[in-house]
Amino acid sequence: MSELKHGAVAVVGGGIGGIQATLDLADSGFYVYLIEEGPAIGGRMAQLDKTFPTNDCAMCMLSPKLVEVGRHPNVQIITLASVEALEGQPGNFRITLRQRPRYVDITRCIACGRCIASCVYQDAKFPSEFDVGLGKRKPIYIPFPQAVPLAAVVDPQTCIFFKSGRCPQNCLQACERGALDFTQTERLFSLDVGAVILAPGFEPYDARLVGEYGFGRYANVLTAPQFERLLSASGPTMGKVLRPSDGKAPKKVAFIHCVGSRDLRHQSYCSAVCCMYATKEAIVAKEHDHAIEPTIFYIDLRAYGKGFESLVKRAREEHGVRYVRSMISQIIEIPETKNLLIRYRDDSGSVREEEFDLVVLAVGMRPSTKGQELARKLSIELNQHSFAQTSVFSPVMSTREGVFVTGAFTGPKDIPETVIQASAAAAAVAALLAPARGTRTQAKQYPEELVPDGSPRIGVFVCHCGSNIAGVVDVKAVAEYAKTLPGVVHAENVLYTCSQDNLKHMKDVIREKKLNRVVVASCTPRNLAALFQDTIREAGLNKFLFEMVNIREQCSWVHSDQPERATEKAKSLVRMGVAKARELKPLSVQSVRVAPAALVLGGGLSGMVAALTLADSGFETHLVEKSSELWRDLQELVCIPEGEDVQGLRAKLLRTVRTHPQIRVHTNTTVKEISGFVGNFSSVLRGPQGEERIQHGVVIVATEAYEHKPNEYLYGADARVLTQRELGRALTEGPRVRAKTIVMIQCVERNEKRPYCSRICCAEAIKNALALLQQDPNRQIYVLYREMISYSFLEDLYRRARDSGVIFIHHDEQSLPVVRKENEQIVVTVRDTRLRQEVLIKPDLVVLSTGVVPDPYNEELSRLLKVPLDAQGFFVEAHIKLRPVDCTSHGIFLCGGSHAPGTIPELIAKAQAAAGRAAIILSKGQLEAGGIVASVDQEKCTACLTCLRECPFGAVFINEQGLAEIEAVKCQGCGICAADCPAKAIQLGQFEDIQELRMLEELFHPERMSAV
Amino acid sequence: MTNSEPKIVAFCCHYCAFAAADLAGVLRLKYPPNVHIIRLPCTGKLDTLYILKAFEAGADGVIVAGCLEGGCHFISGNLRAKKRVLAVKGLLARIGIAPERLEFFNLSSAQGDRFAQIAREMTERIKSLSSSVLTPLPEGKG
Ligand code: FES
Repeated sequence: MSELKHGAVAVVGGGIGGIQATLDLADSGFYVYLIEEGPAIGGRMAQLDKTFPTNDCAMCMLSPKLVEVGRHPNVQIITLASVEALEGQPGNFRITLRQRPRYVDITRCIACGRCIASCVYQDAKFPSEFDVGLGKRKPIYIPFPQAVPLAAVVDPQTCIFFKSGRCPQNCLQACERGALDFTQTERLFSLDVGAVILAPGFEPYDARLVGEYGFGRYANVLTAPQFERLLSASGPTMGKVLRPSDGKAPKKVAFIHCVGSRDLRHQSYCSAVCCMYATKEAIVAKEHDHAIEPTIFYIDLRAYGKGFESLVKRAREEHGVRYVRSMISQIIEIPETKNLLIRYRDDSGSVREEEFDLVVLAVGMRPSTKGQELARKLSIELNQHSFAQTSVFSPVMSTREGVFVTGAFTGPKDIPETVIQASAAAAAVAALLAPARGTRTQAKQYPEELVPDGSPRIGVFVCHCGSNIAGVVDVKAVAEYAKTLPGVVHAENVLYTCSQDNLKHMKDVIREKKLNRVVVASCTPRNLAALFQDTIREAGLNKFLFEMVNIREQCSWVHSDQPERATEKAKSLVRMGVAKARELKPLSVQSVRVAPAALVLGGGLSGMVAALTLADSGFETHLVEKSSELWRDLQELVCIPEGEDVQGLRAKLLRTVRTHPQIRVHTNTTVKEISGFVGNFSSVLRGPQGEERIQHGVVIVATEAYEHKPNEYLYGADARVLTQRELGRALTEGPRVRAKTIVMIQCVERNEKRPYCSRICCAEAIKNALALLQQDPNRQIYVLYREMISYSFLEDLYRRARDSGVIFIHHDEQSLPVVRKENEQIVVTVRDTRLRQEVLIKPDLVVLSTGVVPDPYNEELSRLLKVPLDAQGFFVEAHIKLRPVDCTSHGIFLCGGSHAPGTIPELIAKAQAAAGRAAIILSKGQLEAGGIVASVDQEKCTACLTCLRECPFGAVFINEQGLAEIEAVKCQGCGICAADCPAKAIQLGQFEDIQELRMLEELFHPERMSAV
Repeated sequence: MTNSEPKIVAFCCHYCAFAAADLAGVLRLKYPPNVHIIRLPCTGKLDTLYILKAFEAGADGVIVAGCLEGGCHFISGNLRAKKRVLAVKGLLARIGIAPERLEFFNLSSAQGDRFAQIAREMTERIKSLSSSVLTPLPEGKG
């Protein structure tokens, strides 16, 4: 097939999933249109204060990604737009978009806020979407401080001009940039793309529909997304937890789980994230205000992901969060105090009442209306819950070829799962469009770099930023002052440094005045430094001969009450910037060739999927398996979903892997040695034919996890005690199970040593129980459990089991079931928490859900790859939320059970994601090394090994001379080694000691400025 | 310059503390102008020498601000920095500089208000200390 394929992709939805897919694709040679309904990208994650289980700040993680997307040369963000139609076929689609007017030209708007301040509405009076109605905004507003695109937007629904036509339109006059344009109209246009990724996300369940909780009627009943905004330092209360009714700090705060979820009147499925986010909110609330006493009312506590269990433990033990297993029947507001009386049935069935100051409803996720509309317009199917229909074996494929789906659009899930699916979808697209890679992207050409000769010739550009800086700081005086500083040959004022015309002007000045250093005094370097660096590079300067001084966010905006002192401060900051600039050195960035092959370690399901994804993208892949067969033991690996033909999947995978021209299968093979670094690994494989050395650019660790073999409950001592896997095998392959009374015990040997949830055992037990009942409906089946982890759509299966007569008995973690033999009869006793008494069962079969353990081979791999394992023997990811399949060491990726247990669709998505992330590196062909990296002065190094110990990235090695050296490709530029080196032998480019010290000297002692 | 406010240097990591300082600006919060920010890629880059140099150059106080614990973009930079700050505090005490003039803070990029508050609090704290950085030592070194 040599049909035309487009090298561009449409990603619909600008939340974290859409952003991740966009970046992955844009970084691997595709042009991306990122289409967002709202005025800014960022999605739900931008509204979060913290994220579980690490309680990291959500904005800290997200904001750099927003900036990256905003600046990416291969990305076009299209906001306020929705999809109207999609025609064509995979590889060659035409997508039609409808874009609403913003009434603000984003290329001109600098987000100064003058239009907002001048609006005829003196007070913000319309509920802010971003603050979930708790904060207020005006008809013209900036969605949130870190928004991308960072520009104002007019809401025609509330703007007087649009409503009555009679408005003085102060905003038009106030804007110094002429950015406002009330003549804009709706636009309908089409784009050619090769594939589409849909990531429209979810909607929080509408709490008003759960009438008994009084949301919307009782002032002090909030939803969790609202509470999140209260916790946020940039939220409506600046991070203070206050009651809406009286603005007082609440003491007793209740969190109610499963609002709208696991309830046939609402949504039957479990929303998968509420248990954890409520736990997080309880902890964070407590951290904000120690007096708060949080209570969590829950049905089952589903702490099933990596690190979840320990968060709950911390909540209980360190923060005193109280957990009450209960069913809530009603909430009543006490009219005088506006306190809330919660009536609930506790574990033992008794009805209780308790008064709270504030109630937070942990609302579930529901499919978004946007998503449903998209599905209709694009003719893709939805499942019975109105989420996108996918299959177990293709978790990110929609029912229409060439259209992929990710994130909460496919079902309730958390951020890491969303990010994994996003990378998986991007990988699938990259494979589909492999022949078109690079056809729509352009590499920018720069002139040859001038070598700066001798003395510094510095140019200083002092920005007015309209009146944002100039309204407070005497910018003329600052520029005049700059002229007097040593090394400065040019200084001037600019109205807007970042404007296109000024950028051109800057280049002219650099050439005319032969500048060899540039200082820009304007806004924060976090947003625009890259733009200015690029500009000076276009003028032939090394981009590191640049320093940016922040006189807006960190001067004029915070000292507007003291203009004179702000001016003095701006001068000091410029003086420091110039001092640093005098010491700046050009830094070189070298291109290192990437070996265009991949090494996949582990030939199970995950390894095969990863290998195929890479191979389909056009990269040679070595698939290494230590045993004699690929995906040897079907049963060992994972819970096999009901009714799915896993045998068929295995056969198909084996066939394609074996015959794929880009895959080399090495069975009976282990890795003897791995050296090198991202882009250039060199490994020795030891197989039946002896040793072989291969060169590869990336490594994917795809070992699987296995069923744990227990030591207790008579396992191994009595043939009537089986594991779930063994039962599963007996059910499919025989011999026929004859038992009538069956006891299943969950979480066997889950203890301090194996504290994690294995994610799959509950589903497996339920599935086996249903299969047993299908064979013989007269069986008695008991499941003894601590928590039933039937998250997401598995909840339906759990309900079916209960309805079919499976008896679920809850017991405490402290009172584990006991299994013993009395005259050949097996007797199981357990203390039932609901009945509050011991229950005795005499089963003829006991089935143990033992969980999974990582492959012991991980230990050897961890040593070879020099990447760490956690206490349980799983590999540690680079970032639990946003880089779930990356290792901290660049070029190494994780999937399968090597990283965490998972279900088949989860493992497949993870394998595709890891392959996609790896393919980004391979598709580049070249990697840049150098720039802001550390280097060791060999003369000064005393080989004390401090740097080797402290480097978090394993970038330091000891060279042949026995001295420390730093691998530039691996160095991330943190500078830890430089600061720790006792011999001062290490310097970090752009942050050299001399540069920092000069700044300090000049800060308070301007008179010393000419001293050497 | 004729103002009596203490001179403070704030070493901020690029990812969180510096971003928080930016947010303080975006929210138009106020803090004393004598707080000057120096951007580091990570507080892990903070050489103990810089702190000493700041005091030598005339600073009355030094703020070191990095990401929340567990939130450092380079994994362990803020933990290293915290250790170094502690060590320098000990050193300061020995050479007669009140260790309270140096403080380490963890903040997230969303905590603009916290940054402004730290700037104000450190200013107040240092004002309340004796006016000169060096309380006279009996003999010799300073
Ligand atoms: S990046 Fe903020 S402390 Fe390391």
